Amino acid sequence: MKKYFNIYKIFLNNAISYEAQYRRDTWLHLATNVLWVGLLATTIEVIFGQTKEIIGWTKPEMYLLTVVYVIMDEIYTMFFKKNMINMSELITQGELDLVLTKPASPLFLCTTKIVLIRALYRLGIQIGLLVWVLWHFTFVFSPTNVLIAFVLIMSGVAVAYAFVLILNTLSFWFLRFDNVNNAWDTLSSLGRYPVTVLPKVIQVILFTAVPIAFVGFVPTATLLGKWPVAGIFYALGFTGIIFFIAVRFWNFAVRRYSSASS
Amino acid sequence: MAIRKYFFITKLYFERLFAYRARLLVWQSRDLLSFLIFPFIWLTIYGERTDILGYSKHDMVTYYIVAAVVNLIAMSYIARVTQQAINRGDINGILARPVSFLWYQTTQAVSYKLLGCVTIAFIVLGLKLFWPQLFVLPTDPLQILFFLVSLFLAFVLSHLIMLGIGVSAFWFGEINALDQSHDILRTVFAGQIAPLTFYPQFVQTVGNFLPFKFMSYVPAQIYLGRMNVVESLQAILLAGIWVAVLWIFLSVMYKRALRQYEGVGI
Repeated sequence: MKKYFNIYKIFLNNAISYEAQYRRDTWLHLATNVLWVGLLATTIEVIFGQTKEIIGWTKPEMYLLTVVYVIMDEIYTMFFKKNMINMSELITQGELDLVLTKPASPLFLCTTKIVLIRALYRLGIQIGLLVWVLWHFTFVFSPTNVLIAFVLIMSGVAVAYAFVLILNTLSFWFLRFDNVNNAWDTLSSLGRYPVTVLPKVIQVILFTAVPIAFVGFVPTATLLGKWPVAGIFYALGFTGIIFFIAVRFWNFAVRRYSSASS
Repeated sequence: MAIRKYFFITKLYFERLFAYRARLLVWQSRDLLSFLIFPFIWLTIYGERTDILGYSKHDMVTYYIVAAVVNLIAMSYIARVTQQAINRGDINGILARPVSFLWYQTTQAVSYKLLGCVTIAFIVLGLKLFWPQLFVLPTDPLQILFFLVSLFLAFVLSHLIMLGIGVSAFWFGEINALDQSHDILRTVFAGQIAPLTFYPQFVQTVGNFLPFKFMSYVPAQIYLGRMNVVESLQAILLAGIWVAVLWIFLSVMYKRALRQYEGVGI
């Protein structure tokens, strides 16, 4: 465990050095992020310009859902996104060979190596936005729901990690498959809407095969007391199962991997 | 002779695309997925209402389907490819050949969009078979003609902007933030969230000064028959003017870029 802690410390140091090198880029991304938040707000305003609620979700609740989704997405981006994007190239270019020779878990090295420090600035802004939403619209939460929602936010990030890992592990079979990460970006954005608005068949898919509902929707619904206790247990159980499957699938793929470089 | 040259590039590009079929399938699906949720949200909002701001349920669903079609057929994604060609030095090989770099990139974008047309044909067929009451096909030949012209102009506009963003890599190297900003602006001002008339007045006014509405909103309006002949012609003319302006801007930008290009990777 200590070994992995030390390795991660090195990754963090590298991330800070990288950040210092590309400061202008950080500011540009920060500006883009503000623009993106503006887009999300416009979407809500346009929709709620014509209605008071969507299947029981009011405008303030939609703002909360959006901000929770954005925060979860940012946490995923900060710790895992770039690593997942690079995975396909790592496998198809044969660079995985080098990783496999190192005395540490290849999965750990492949999926945690790059930490995006710039995402931390954005996360700061987004948490500020969450505070503003909570202050501007008067919400009343039970402390238990807040605690469970926090756990579900973390488990939602774990679900995103596991699902995207499964998708990227397919790169062992399909060449140049890195665009699944773009597909995930598009798909996961559905998590910032109440997914219960969709037809039942699509809902079932979003709670199982393509688990987008856990990123944004489930934690927010729990926070607002709109999510049943059984649903909470299901979300936690599902996180464990998909994580287990993702790791097993990765190990299976690594075992049948034959070098692409030599 | 010149056409044969680009036809050959198209053939090569197709071969490359089909070598990575899974990748192709993911791209094509992604282009459509972002439009999945909105029709359902609006259908919920409609409830018992038959009309919102002059749009019936059928109009609204058709609007998003047309927006998805336009997105698949007319939105160019050439910026990143152009940036990579510049940053990795691949452009050197193209510049040494008797082809224009910008036309080379355009041929790639057109080839990809031709595949999008095939996907769309299947989707329209499926919708007409399984969801005929919610997806309306136009019957007026003039309306269809105007729609096709607006679709073509949407592609040209999108492509010129994306080429401009790609070519800016000559100066900036990294274009990620620029590309993302463009995506956001396009999503809002092209009317991909909802028809522009649903937006706050301020956003609509700003949108009128930008070319984005010709990339989704205008083709959808023409398709739905919400623009008469004069309005359609005016919109097409305005889009044409935007094409000319962007074309001149891109040409100047590209010439300047080449003048100061040092040839990375030679």
